[in-house]
Amino acid sequence: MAVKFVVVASLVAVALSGCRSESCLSGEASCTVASPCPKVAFECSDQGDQLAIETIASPSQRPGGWNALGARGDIRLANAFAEVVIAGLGTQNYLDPNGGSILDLAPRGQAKDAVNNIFQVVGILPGDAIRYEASRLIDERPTAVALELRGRLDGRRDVVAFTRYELRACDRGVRVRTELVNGSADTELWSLVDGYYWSGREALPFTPGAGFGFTHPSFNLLTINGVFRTFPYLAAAAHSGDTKVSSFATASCTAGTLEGFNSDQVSAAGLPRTRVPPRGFQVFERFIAVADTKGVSGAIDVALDVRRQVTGEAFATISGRVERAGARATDSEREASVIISEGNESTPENQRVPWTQIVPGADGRFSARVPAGKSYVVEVHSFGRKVIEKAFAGVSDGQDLGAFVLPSTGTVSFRVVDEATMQGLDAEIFVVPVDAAEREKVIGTLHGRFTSCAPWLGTPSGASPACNRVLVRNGDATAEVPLGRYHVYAFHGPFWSLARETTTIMPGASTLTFRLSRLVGLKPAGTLSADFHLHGAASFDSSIPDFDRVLSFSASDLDVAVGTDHDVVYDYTPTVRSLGLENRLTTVIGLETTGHIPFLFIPNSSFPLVIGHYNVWPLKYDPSLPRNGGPYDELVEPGLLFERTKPLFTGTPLIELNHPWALAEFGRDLGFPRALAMDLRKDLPAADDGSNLGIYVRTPAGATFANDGHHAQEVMNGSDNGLFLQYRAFWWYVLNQGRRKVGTANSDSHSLTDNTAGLPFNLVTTSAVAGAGFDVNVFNQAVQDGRVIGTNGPVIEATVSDSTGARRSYGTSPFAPAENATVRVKVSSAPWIPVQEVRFVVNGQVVKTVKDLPLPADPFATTGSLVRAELEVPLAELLAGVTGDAWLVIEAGRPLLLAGDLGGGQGGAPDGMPDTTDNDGDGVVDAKDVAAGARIGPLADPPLPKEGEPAFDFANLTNGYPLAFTNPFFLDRTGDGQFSAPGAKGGR
Amino acid sequence: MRALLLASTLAASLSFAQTSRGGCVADDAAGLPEGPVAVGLGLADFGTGRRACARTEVGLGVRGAGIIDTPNFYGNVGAQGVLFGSFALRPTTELFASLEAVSFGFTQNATLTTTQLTFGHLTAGATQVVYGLERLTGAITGRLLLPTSFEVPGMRLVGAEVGHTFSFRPNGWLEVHGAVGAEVTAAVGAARSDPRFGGFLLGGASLQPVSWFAFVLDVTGRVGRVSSLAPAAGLRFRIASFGIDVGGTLPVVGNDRHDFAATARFSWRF
Repeated sequence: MAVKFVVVASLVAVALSGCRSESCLSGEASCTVASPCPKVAFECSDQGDQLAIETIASPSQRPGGWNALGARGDIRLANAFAEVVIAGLGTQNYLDPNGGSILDLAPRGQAKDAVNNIFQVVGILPGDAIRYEASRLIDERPTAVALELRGRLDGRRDVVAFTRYELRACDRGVRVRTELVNGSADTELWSLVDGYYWSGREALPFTPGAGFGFTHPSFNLLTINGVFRTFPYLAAAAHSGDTKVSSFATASCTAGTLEGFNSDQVSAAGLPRTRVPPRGFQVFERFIAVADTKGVSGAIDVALDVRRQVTGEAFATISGRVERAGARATDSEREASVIISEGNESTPENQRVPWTQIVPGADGRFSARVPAGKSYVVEVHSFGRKVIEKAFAGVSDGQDLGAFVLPSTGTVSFRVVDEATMQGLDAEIFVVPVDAAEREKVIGTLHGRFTSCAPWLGTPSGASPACNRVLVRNGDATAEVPLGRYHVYAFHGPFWSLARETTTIMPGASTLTFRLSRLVGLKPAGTLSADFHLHGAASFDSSIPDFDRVLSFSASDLDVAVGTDHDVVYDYTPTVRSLGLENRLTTVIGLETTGHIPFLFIPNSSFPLVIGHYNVWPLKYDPSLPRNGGPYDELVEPGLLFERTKPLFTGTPLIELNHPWALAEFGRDLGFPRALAMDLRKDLPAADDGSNLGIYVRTPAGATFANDGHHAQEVMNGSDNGLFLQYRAFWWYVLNQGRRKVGTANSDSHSLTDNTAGLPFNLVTTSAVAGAGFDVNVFNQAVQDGRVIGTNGPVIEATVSDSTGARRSYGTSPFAPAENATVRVKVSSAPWIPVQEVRFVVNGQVVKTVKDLPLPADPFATTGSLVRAELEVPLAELLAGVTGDAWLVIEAGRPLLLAGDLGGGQGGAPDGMPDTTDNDGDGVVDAKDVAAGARIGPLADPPLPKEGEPAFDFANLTNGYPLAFTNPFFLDRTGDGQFSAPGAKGGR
Repeated sequence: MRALLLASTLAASLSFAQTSRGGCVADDAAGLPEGPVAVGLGLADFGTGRRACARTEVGLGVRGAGIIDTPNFYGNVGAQGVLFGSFALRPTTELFASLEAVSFGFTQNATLTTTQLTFGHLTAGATQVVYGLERLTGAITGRLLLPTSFEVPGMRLVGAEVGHTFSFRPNGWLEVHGAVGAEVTAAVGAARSDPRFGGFLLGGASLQPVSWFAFVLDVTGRVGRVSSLAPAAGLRFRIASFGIDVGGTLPVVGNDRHDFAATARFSWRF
């Protein structure tokens, strides 16, 4: 009987396994994923011949646009209205582990791709991403073209996944169906969503919902579960401020809402979080629309059409126009942005439901779809502020909302010339309200997103005018400026004078003229100013167009600009040529490796980590290759990453450790040392001893580089010198460990606003020359040799007499100092960059400070002495109390705040890294300096100066303070021809 | 003195021990649950040995099981409210059924969490004694998993289990039991049925020093999609015909990720 029972049960089970299942849920090898969104159809005249499906073979097939990434082996689907590129298998980009994600989505032929990456995941862990392993092109022209992918969850091989991307002839976007089957033995929690990787300064997510629109609750990886919301669609548009902008939106093809979360960094939109027991499955069908509009309205119009077909929700098309006397144009977000929200005048703003956002056309007219039969409040925003609000009850299809008249602005023409030649200069204009009251009148944001600016002249992350800045080309620029009273600065780099006009902007046209002078003798002969860390729109977190990016290099009078876009190689040389700058500005092709997928575990921590960011250059730009020829930088330790990069270098290599102690973002560390939670009170081991420090020095299997095999390290990062004390502390630590790493100073600029290109910069002593004859090998060798000062203006020239009596400059080569050696220091700066003190640092301690240096009387002077200090100090005085070899660094600038280490290491223990400043000003860093509720910090920046105080104008441009440092003199005091590590205690 | 007291207590206890009816519990301990610990690690407690002896009873219980896998940022905890009953058709034949009237689940993936409340599994089966010696009773048993659960969206689970179980009672206070079985489960719905086969082997003993209390210790080995070796322990009480059965198990070897499974059952024997 029992045998019979088993036989019968088995037969039933086998029979069931043979039942025909829907689509590919059966997992059969021969299955075909069902066509997505069968309820959705679009009409058009016969466009079947426009359908295309192809494997990309050349860069010309890439759709174009600032975020275009399609490369050889990727798949392109196109119809008459849209084109989409899906990463080929084996191609890794950002959070996509193996291809199959959307890299590009643009209106057909418009070169307006605004998508970084759209990928499928079921959670927030690395293993929750789908790893596609097989693909199939489906050519059903003239009806449809499709790409079918199959794979598994990256962390669970027994969860199978299928996705079909499909374009039909009249589709205004791509329809997508994803299926997942839980073949595991455990119940899973899946949040099957499309992840939208914005990464800040790019497209912004917009969702309808009370108080939402562009506004979303903030969260981190620990609080993310609490910010899941449902919304009828998710939309986004780029904000580069130029014409290369498109919008896109997604709506479910099976349900009334999507569930997910949103932030400026990443969005998720998909199915509700669901328990999926073994043998359970999920199917997610959605339509991702794309439209050629500057606001999100174009794609939302399509999304509402999808919803009409899926849910029966009717929409109404409404229209109106904005007007402003003397307006130069209205077809930009800075001039006019219309938000239409469900509600009425009495509905509190946080209860209104924004449904769409529109940028009017050049004639001021706009139209958009909204759900029918509702009452709406129409807001018009201009220059970052809401200026008009009108309510409309029960709007009907075709309703004209009438005219919205915007307040006047001033049209300001800026003229910047070289006083010596009266020739126009490339320059940057900074518009700063004269006081807090004026600031309050003009402060604005892009619908609450990005940074606030006063005045808000345009999207901070985009083209000029951006935030409160305007780029000047060949001496001329014109911009609309909100009415108010301002200090207006003209800037052309730290080797030029600074000019300021204080003016009241009135309605109508006006002109401001500035004359700048090259400060002769300030820049030492045989040096090049260079910024090794610059981003443009090619980066996933930048929207500044190439024209503005390169013009900003010229505006700062940089000699060398190293392009280091995140994860993609990019070449700014064509833009340099188009601007006629090729004879005085060199751009070097590089890349910033950027870890996205956590994988590395360290002792005493259960969270996987990434290795942070490294800049590498020079590389070859090859748009036919994934990442434009950049290395695959995930899932490897730094040593192996360097090994992967090694064959890609086109000249003398330079590897730079970036922002070594920066705070992690979304669980991803930005600097390897901080990821390792290194304890700087301990010496580095000679080899991997299993400790955190051991990981830092070890050489990964398969690599010839150690994990600390980089050449240089950022000591200054960003125009405001943020975290300088920590970057400097880490640099001093590795110098004390005998690692002769070159200290660098970079802007890490992603836009005109976050940091100003070339502030700070590296002053490299080299025989290389900028422009046509630039030799990157000679230049990089000078950097590797440490012939660099890092500065945001002050210039330090320093020498030490060696044992032969010759004067030696700083550099990585050790030398024996003369018995009675002296240190000669000359500090110079532009009048607007005051230097208040000079500091001498030996083996990680400031051993001498020359304070209260005389300050320039007129920050805007174009003549007069530029020398702020000339000193000669006996070396013996500086080395008192130090035994063995020593290194010496000289700093100049503003006095720094006293800082100390109260904790911050693993388990909250002290780690040798300063984390708290003397915030109560009692001369001691202790628990009284710590903010309420915290265990350490804050690590404050020096207070910004008030008008009349030193560096007021400098701070208006940088939000920082003057600062410079030399690279070390490595003093071989023992005379053994080597530099022996002083150790963590600095030889004391 | 202490030894004397212990010996007296043991003697008194043995004097309360019932006489055996083959391997089955005697009438003077009627409400006391018997057989293996009534908790397992499988679906609807498949792979849990069943008693060999027929009885008529009804009861309700709660069952909980969980996986807390912190290193992998995973957690899954479930609890079911169970109605169960059996009917002794003959002294050697029993029909039985168990229904998870309510099934609650909480699952965590990193910091994402969700819960689920559904109707659970229903199983029904029969046990037939095939041999009954003086101290040994053996039976074959089988049950079906019926497609009642809403736990798997879009799919219904079915399955069957057959096995042999025995009870050996060498004296009035010790019962040795064992079971061996095979199972198959499959899904019915839009996705693949994914039939899964498995088997188990169970051995254990029940120490019953008094008529109102027993202590049970089992070890179960399972093979299949999930394999494990899992000890289980249980405590049993009775008040007349009312029985209380609590027990728990956890895998110590194998790929079963459970950190615990436990049950508390309350029954009335007719």
